[in-house]
Amino acid sequence: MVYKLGFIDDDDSLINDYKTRLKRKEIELVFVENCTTKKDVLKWILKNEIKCMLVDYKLTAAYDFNGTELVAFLNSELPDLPCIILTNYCDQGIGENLVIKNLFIEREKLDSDFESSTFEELVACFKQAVDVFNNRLKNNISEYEELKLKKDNGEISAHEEERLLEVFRILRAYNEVDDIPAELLTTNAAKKMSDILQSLDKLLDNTK
Amino acid sequence: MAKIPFNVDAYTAKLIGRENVSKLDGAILELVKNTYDADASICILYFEKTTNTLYIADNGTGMTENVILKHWMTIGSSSKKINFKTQKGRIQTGAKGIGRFALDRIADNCSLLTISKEEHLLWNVDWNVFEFGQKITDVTAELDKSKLSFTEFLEDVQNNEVIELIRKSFLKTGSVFRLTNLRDNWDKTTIDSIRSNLKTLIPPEFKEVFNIYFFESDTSIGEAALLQDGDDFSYDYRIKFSVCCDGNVKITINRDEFDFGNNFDKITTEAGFDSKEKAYFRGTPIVIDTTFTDVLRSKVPIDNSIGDFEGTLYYAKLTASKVDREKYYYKDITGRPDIRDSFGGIRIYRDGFRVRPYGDPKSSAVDWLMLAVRKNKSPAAISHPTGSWRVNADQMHGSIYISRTNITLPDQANRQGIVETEEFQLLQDFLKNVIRLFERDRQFVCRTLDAYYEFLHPTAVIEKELDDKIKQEAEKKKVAKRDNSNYLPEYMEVNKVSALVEKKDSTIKQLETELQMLRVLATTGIVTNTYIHEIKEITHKLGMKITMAKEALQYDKNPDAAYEYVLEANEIRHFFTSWFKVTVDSVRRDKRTMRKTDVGELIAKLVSDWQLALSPKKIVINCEVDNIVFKCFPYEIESILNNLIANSASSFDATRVGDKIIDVRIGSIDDGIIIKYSDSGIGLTGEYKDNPRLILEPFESDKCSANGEIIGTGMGMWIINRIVNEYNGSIDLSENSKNTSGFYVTLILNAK
Repeated sequence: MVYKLGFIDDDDSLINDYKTRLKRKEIELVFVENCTTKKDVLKWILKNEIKCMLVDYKLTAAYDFNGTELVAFLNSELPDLPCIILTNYCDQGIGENLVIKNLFIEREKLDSDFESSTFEELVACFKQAVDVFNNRLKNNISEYEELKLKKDNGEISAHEEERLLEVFRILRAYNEVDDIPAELLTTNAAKKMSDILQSLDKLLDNTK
Repeated sequence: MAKIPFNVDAYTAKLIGRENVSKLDGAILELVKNTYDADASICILYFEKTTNTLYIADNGTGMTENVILKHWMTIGSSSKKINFKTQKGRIQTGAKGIGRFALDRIADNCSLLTISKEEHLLWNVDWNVFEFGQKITDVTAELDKSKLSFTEFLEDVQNNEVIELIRKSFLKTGSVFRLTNLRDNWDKTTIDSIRSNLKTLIPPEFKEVFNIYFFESDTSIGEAALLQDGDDFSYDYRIKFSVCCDGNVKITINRDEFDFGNNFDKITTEAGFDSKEKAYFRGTPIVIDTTFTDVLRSKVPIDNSIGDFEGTLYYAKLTASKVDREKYYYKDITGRPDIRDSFGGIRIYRDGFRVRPYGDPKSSAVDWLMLAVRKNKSPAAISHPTGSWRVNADQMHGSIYISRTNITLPDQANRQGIVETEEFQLLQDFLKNVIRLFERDRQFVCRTLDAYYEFLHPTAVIEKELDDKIKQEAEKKKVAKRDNSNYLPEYMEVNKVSALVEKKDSTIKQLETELQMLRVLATTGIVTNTYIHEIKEITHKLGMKITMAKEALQYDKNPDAAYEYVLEANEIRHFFTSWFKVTVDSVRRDKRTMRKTDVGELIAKLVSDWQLALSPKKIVINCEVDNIVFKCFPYEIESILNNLIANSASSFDATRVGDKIIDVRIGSIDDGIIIKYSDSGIGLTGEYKDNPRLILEPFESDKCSANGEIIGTGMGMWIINRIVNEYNGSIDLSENSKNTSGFYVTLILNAK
């Protein structure tokens, strides 16, 4: 199994080295490109089906925000996506209190010996983050199916319907459900659909 | 074919001689050295003002006709080149065969009576006959056998004391020069200068075997002796050392600074000195048997490539405050003569004769061991509990004895000192380390006595009494005001208060010294702290490339890729070095010494280091510096720029900006330099924009994290302000209020 991680940094000088090293440990590292805003990054994550995001703290050479701000944004938009701050500025980033301390990793661990416990632990941490995301995705599928059933039976509340849409969007991004427009899952859309189908039935009856 | 010998023009021969002995002082010293080489025990110089005549006499071996003809009259020939040891075993000091031209330098006419075991000879020469166009072989001097005795030769001498000394000391052999038609005006300044030079020509310890007398018409024998018993220096510490060519070193240190009077046992016991220390106070020398390597504190063995040498150093202070005298039980030094002008510092003697200019009070080489620089670097007071006390340069004097057998310490061709060989450097290091041993002992004694003084003078009690009195007085004043009664102030004994004031003064002085050291260290701390992340980043990059190279070989078996990684690592290494240069390098010891500095060169190098370090961040530094030589501490100028550039780099980091440009312009003004600095960053923020000078206060910083927390040290601009103040300069930050972005500052530093 290949673990897919995203990585955002304003300095791309080491990206190929990271890719090479992590590939030996069955981790695919994908570098964020052509993004300028936090929303662009979110779209990029979904498009690339990223299951764990590595974020540098200092991003100001290329972006209008720094790493902790981006993680705070992603946490609100994609609460299940693990985000790790990988930086030389741990102390400074932790001091901002935007991201919990445990999610900061010193970047120097990336150049530790390939067979050292430090590197093994780092790789294990990345893989576990992806596993966490996959498990959360599975939980989301269960939740989606449950809500979908409720909806089909006309037992869904407004609040549950909103959650259904949210879960659907995430699952669709990660190709876990069929790619249909999310609007089709709304009650209005279902009613309209039901009306259309009823009209269609009538039309068919008349033509018989 | 006929063989025609070369010849020399007589005048040219004289000129060559004059080139070698150009000054009167030098000529006199040269002749006195000759008297020493002749195994004399005394040398007499007598200047007779009324006849404008100079006599130079010695009771040495005298010269035979053979010596006069073969050596004395053969220019460039010296008997001392091969046989450099005299009959008495002295190692002769001259060897060039030109000393006799010293006579020409001093006077036009010369008569010599020389009496050897074999004969009495009278030699006369008129130097004017060495004229242009005459061959040297055509010039003649008169040499006749004589029956004259010394006293008969000196019958015209007006000072009877001279005759008396000759009669007493010139028993058999010797030589007397009578020089007339002197070339110089022998006024008081000239005489004082010659007397002073002669006084230090040979070490005082040599007076038993060789003494010099300088007479004028009315000088007595007692006054004329230049090396007298009184010259046994009154000293506080004496450090003797002898170094053997096999590397064994013996050092003896004599403490003679402290006088505990009748209470010796009580004081030394109460102060906590053990029996060994007590013996040292009573005159037992501290003997250290060690090795050359150990003295130099080297971890690897160092061969003594200098050879045998020895020396005696003296520590003698000239003043001591009343408090210090009381505190440290200094012996009475009232009337101790100031010998600095005549004896100077630490002198070098080669085979008993002075090697100039080392220790010469009128020369920059008076402090050739750079003791003053050492003191500046560690200015701690003697009682400082942790700092290392260093001796003042003008408190040390003494003599180092080397020989012509120390071949690794050769004389310079112009006789202006010793060639600065590796061994000369080694000698300097050795001496400084010997001095360190004395400093350590003296500081140990003074620290112990300081603690004892504290024990005897509990100023804490007086301080409490004073505090209580102040409070009581305030209360009394209040009561008197309330009751409308008379207020009578209470007084405290002056000696109590003065003890307290002295204690406070001493504490303040100690704190000031500490502050000075801490400022230097703070700069290192700030600079390193500011760039720690950048240094970590570079370290990581370097580590990555090395790791990649290793793995390319280990896992991919791809040497080409490994080589590419090594090349990239090498490139990063340069960045790494440049960061070190702008951080640690800026507080290097030599940059903490006040000196005339080529500001252009200094800044160009600094900016070039910064340029390389900041190039990954795409920051460009434009720098224009005039050719300026400015007397300053180089690290302070660097500190100014380091702080400004660090601030700019942080500003560029804080937000995304287009072109990251720093402009540095440095020019000269009337009596100083002007630094115009600006960057294209976001500029000052918030309240600092309206009141830019606020940023100069300590702990003020506008370097904040994303959530507004101050992350700057707030020390950088304060340090700049402090430095500018020390140069009586000014800081103009007004441009910052006029511009929406960018940081602007103009600094003026005036000569100190």
